[in-house]
Amino acid sequence: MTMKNNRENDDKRMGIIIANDLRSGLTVFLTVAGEWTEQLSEAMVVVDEIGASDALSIAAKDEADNIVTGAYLTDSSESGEPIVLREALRVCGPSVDYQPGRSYSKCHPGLPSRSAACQVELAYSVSGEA
Amino acid sequence: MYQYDQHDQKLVDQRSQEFRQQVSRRLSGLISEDEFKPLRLMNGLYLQLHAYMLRVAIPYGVLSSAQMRKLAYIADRYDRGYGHFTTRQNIQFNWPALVDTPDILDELASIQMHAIQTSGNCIRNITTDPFAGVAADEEVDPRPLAELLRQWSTLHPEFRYLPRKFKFAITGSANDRAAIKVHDIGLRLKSGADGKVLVDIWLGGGQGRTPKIAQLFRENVSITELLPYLEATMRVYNRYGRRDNKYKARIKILLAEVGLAELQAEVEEVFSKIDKSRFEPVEAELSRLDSRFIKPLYHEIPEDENPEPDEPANLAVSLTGTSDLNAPVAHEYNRWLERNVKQHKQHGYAIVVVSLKRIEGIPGDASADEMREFASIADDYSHSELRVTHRQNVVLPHVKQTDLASVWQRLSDANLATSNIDLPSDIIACPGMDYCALATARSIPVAQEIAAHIRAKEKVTSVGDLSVNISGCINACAHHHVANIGILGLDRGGVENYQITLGGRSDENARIGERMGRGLLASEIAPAVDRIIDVYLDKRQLTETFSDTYQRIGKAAFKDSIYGDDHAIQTA
Ligand code: SF4
Repeated sequence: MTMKNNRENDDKRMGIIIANDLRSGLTVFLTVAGEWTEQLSEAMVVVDEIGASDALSIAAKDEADNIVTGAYLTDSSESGEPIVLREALRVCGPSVDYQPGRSYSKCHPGLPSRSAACQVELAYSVSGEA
Repeated sequence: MYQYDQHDQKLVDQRSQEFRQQVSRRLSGLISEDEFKPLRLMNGLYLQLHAYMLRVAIPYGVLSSAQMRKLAYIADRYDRGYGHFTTRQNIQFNWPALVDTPDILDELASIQMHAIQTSGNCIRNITTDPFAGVAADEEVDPRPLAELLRQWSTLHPEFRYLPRKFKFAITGSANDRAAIKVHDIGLRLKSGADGKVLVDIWLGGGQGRTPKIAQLFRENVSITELLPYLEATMRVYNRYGRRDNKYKARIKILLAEVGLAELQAEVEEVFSKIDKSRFEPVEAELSRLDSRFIKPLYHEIPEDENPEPDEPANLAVSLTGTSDLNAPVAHEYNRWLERNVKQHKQHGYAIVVVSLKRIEGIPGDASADEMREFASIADDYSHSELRVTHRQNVVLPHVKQTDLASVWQRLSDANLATSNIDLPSDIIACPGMDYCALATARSIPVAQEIAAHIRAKEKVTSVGDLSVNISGCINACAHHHVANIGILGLDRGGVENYQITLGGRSDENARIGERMGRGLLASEIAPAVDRIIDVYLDKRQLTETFSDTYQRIGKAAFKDSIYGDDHAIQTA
């Protein structure tokens, strides 16, 4: 199976493996233990090509085993935060307060998801990074 | 509203059972994702940025209160307590688990709903005037024909794998509220001289990366010839539509490539060979379908009696004890009567449009509690019927004028009485990059910024009808090409960037808006929209609409308001 790799520069950037859990559809990340988690803080950050290749093999096997679907490697910071806006939104959840009074934000538990949006905006619109 | 017969119910039940088996095979690994994807899409199940998304069909936007309650139940039980009404008059649930979707389809089937053909290269949910059957200006009620087309197109074996998706819209009024000229096929129903219904077929409209206004393809088609003629048209499209390039696969491209005369000739040729008896008797079938629509029993009010909505002053007295017409409550009610209440064809009744465009809210979103409140108000005041509009609002179609104050009060208590229908803050916004896997930028937060920015202006000026639509990518689900002010979100080097088009409109005089120039940053859009509206307010004559003013004075002044030296635009 050919796995998608959306990293812009394979040599210099770190990355995480992102996918959807087959049963729930929710965004999940590959951990060091080769399992899948909804918590970004538990995601494995791959730092070189060998790590990336190994991680993608695990993801491909788990796709074939019908555990996840649509797995791919995406650029991240050292601590695993995605660099690209689209991926940041996948990780954080919608940047709008879609349930006033209730928050499902994964990045900032307990905070309204709008706060996550502000951070996304600061990181990507103002600095123009990516 | 339409009541399923045993055949309708059987089809939906069987489809639900079939999908349960498909999901089970996928979960057990008997079929791969590649094999499953077309099956789930045929049942409206997408995989989006965060989760699966289920798009449920609301045929021609008509819902009973029982159906609305079931949607609320599904939102609570299987999703995250809300749903999103779309520009195809459908509803989307953003977080269902795959394992739950067969149960959701069963729940839907139990109240005569489904998700069939809400995705894929087939004939999609047929849309119509949200005021169908009740509009004061209506010549022909389009709902029986919309239902006939729904039945004809549902699982039609010849049209299940078209070159691309195919969208129909129907109106029976001269004032087009269904945007028929930006659909693959738009049908305008008219009343002929002998009282028989005639249909003008508009073909080749559409939005996306190649926006087109439909051309008049055939005029005055009789009802008996309509279905065979549409079948001939679909057959020609299915045969010649470009399957080699999905960006060129819509019928608008076929029309542009072969020309109107040649396409008409081709359709006529196929039409002449179709066995018309297969469609007979259409008129009898239409009246059978019409009889399956539950008609509201209106309270007959003599023509010489003029039941007015309760006076704002009376409302102020009953609620606050003051008879001051300027009391905030009277002012709010008056504004709501002016913006959200439309003329009904039945004497003594009114159409109420409930805005889903609360400032700071998400355009088109409704919580489960709100859906239950809609259902309850519909039961109490609107013959248990509701509609969804392509502008992402909800309609109570049969409200007695003397009940308007009570309805306003109920809506107001539920924070659902925003009085901005057709004003600039009544923004159409697609889900954009907050949800949609195809998006190039976010739409919802930008729509919220614009609404917050211009709401004050709406209140102190008589800006009037003015459409602002924002799409999160070139697919144009929010119809930005045909908005007075259209906004398209793009990605420029990893930064969200927004292009403005002006002068579009989606009514009977539909036009594609003109692109202004380079894109703006998200933070620059709301002030730019504000300045565009200022130009309109400054230059308009008498009762000119935004489009009228734009056509008369041209784009220069508007463009200058966006990019002029006074405005520090930083984008490249
Ligand atoms: S316009 Fe684009 S971003 Fe918006 S809903 Fe449609 S496909 Fe998604």
